[in-house]
Amino acid sequence: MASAGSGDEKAAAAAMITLISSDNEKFEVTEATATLSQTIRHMIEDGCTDGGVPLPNVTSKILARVIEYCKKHATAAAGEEGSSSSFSDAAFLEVDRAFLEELEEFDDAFLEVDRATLFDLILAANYLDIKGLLNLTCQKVADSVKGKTPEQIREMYNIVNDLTPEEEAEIRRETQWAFE
Amino acid sequence: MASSPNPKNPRSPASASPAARDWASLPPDILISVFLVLGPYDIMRGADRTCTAWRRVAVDDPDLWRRIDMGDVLPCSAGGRVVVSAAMDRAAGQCESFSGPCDNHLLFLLVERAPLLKILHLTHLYAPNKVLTLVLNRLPLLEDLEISLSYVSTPSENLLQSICQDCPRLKKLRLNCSESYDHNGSGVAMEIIRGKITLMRELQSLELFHCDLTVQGLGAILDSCPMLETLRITGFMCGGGKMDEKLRQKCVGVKNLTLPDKSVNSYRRHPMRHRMRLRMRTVHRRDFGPWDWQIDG
Repeated sequence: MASAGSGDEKAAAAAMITLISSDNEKFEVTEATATLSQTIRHMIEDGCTDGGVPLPNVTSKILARVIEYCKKHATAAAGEEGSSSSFSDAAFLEVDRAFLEELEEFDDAFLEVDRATLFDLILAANYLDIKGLLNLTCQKVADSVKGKTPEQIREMYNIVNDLTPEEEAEIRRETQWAFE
Repeated sequence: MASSPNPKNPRSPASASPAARDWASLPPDILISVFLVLGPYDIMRGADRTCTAWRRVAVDDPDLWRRIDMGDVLPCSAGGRVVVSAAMDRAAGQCESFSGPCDNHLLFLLVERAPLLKILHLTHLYAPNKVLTLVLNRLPLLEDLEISLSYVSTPSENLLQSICQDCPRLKKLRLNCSESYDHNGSGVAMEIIRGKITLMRELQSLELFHCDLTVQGLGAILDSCPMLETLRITGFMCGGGKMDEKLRQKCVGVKNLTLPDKSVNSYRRHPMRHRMRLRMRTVHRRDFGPWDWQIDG
């Protein structure tokens, strides 16, 4: 990194991608950050990113958060790659652990959002095909549902009980007495 | 709203106001990711009884039930057996992987309802070895078997040999005796391997935890598992025999090799453990081999 000359800077500048949110806000990001999204990676490979990448399903508020996530994780990935050649094994392990811990802290803090934002982040991660972010957000939902009764889940997520009489009967047949 | 033509997505996401999101309308792919993390017990206890959309994903998609991980839910608990049984229904015979504590009933259920099992991890086995044998030879596709014996399932003689005989196509086998006890509450190690083991053409990884190993036993393992890349055995070296050059050469072929570093002799220095060990042998071993002179301190 330290040895980056003007040539490298030019290459880096050339590898910037513009993402355009549904409310027309433009975000400049490096290719390394953008390609955490498989959807955008494929667009870059197909050479259709000139003039920016419109993302009609993602608002600027959510896109800003998604970019924040991708930046952090792209840096961590680059850091790991760079460090493997320049540190001894022990030092590498130390750096590796520090990276992972920092990343975990970042992820925890990142998930401190209201349920509406969590919902939008999940859909954005799905649409942009960012595996890490999708896993992280799905895990958050799963954790929140774990150990809860149907009533508690409905209340938490504002879900209306629309089970049909047939489904209610099916539930009774299948697991009626199991959870009492 | 009540009679939607599409049961997987009864409400359109567009109808959600900016403030409230319609969680019932989460795409099925995403719900499956959430449910996979959640596991069968929590899906059936809460999530799939929440609304029609979530229920349809949980019940109608057999992919969700190909891998069933029961975590720590005991098979004899109120919900345990019901959940496994319902999970098997939903898998529609396509279940390939089961992980969790297991008793007699559950073992038979698995054989009947999941004949395509490739991966079986019995994290605690509450069943006698006889039942295990009855079950294992009816799972012809099994590739990856892990068994942790519990206090009720003490390792019988030839456990490794009978498993190999029942499942000659295994690629991975792990037997853990570290939590197994006899009726006196004494720890029981896996029995000494005597005689030959069925040829395991495809076995790449063998792990035996808390095992009594002899040089002859090690030789039998290496002779019968030509593809072995990983061999990890913890426990005790018994019998006092020495590895010859031929056996050493065979060991070299195994990429990851761990063997017990303690011999039974070390028990002499620990009277309490010595006694425990002695009792274990008298309780569980009917015919004593030539190694027994060693513990007669």
